[in-house]
Amino acid sequence: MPLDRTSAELLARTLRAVADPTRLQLLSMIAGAQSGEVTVGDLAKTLGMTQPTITHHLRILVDDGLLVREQRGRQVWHSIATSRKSAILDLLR
Amino acid sequence: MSKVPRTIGRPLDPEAARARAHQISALTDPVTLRLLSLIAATPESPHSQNWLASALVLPAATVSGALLDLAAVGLLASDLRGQYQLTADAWVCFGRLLASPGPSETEQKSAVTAPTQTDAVPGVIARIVDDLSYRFSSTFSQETVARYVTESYSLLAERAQIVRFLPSLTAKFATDRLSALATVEGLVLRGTPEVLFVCVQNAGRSQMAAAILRQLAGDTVHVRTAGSAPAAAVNSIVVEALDEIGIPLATEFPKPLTEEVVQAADYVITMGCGDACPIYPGRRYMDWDLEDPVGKSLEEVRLIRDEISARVHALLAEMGPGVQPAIR
Repeated sequence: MPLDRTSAELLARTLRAVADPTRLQLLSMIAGAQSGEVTVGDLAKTLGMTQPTITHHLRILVDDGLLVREQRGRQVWHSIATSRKSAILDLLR
Repeated sequence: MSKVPRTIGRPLDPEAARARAHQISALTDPVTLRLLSLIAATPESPHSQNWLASALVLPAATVSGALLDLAAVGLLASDLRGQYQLTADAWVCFGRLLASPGPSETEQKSAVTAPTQTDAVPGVIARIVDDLSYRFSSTFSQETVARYVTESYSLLAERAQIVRFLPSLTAKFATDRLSALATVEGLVLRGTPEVLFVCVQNAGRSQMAAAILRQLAGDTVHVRTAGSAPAAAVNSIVVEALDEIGIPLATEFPKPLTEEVVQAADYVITMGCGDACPIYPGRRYMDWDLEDPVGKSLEEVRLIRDEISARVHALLAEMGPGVQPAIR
């Protein structure tokens, strides 16, 4: 069945969150992480960007429910929301 | 601090990330999304602009703009009749998203199993593996090509709702992935363009052009031929005319024109069969208006041969030494 108007609007919102080269790179790094979760510091270092920039992008993905954020001690970890995993992997193919 | 290095995924290459973001941006409008979803869900319907506009109850101008946007980012391709289908990229990246959420279990199941029901599947795959192994022979082993083709096939078979275009989508998708892999690994693939000559019988004009180009370009160009209605054997006067100028026509035999062979080509040169040749974006198409050597005397065939030779020289000059195949 094709998407109806409501689900198309929902999906369009998710795609707006993902339609950014940096956010796609972040998703690819998190999706490929061995333990499934990644710290902001690791992402910033790998991409050569500042932590505030990375945090800004991550927040957009967390707000849409694509990523799950968890604070443990001083570190903030991000992982892919289980229910969105197959969709995200497809977008990164 | 832990000494164990935390392993994170390799980031998408910046160029690829930009291209994908661009594709996704085209789908951030619900109208575009519904359009692509409708095309995906109705594989057997005629996807003309008018049909789509009335199915979605949208103005034709809106639909036409959205179709062009989607084609521009490589998510849709139109055929000769102006009808649209999803590209391999569109199926693989967006196919599952485009299906209405929460399909019943039976629906999901049939979507997955339908393509594998056909007995022709392994044959088609083997055929594509052969074609691509030839094309990538200087770059990848046949095992690598086979692995990519099989994987591409299953990615598409799980998502695409039609079986009809599955082989050509598979070939296209596997070609793109192998090319990308070659580029990432810095393997020299570009610079070996693939030229396809097509005539009606694949017994005269296309064979002459191919033999001359092979002679001139050697390994720097991959040359193939096909016919829209292939004859049983190559015309013997053609063999003679080529032999006169020292060009061998090795063990060539007339072959049918297939979608795969056109998709593998960077340059497609048609000779009196333009309509039968499918058009895919990104290839350079040329039509050479040449007489058919069938039933002609040796003298007449010589004239045709010389004209073909002149055109092949011009083609080679156009391709230039640093030519890049237009496979993307």
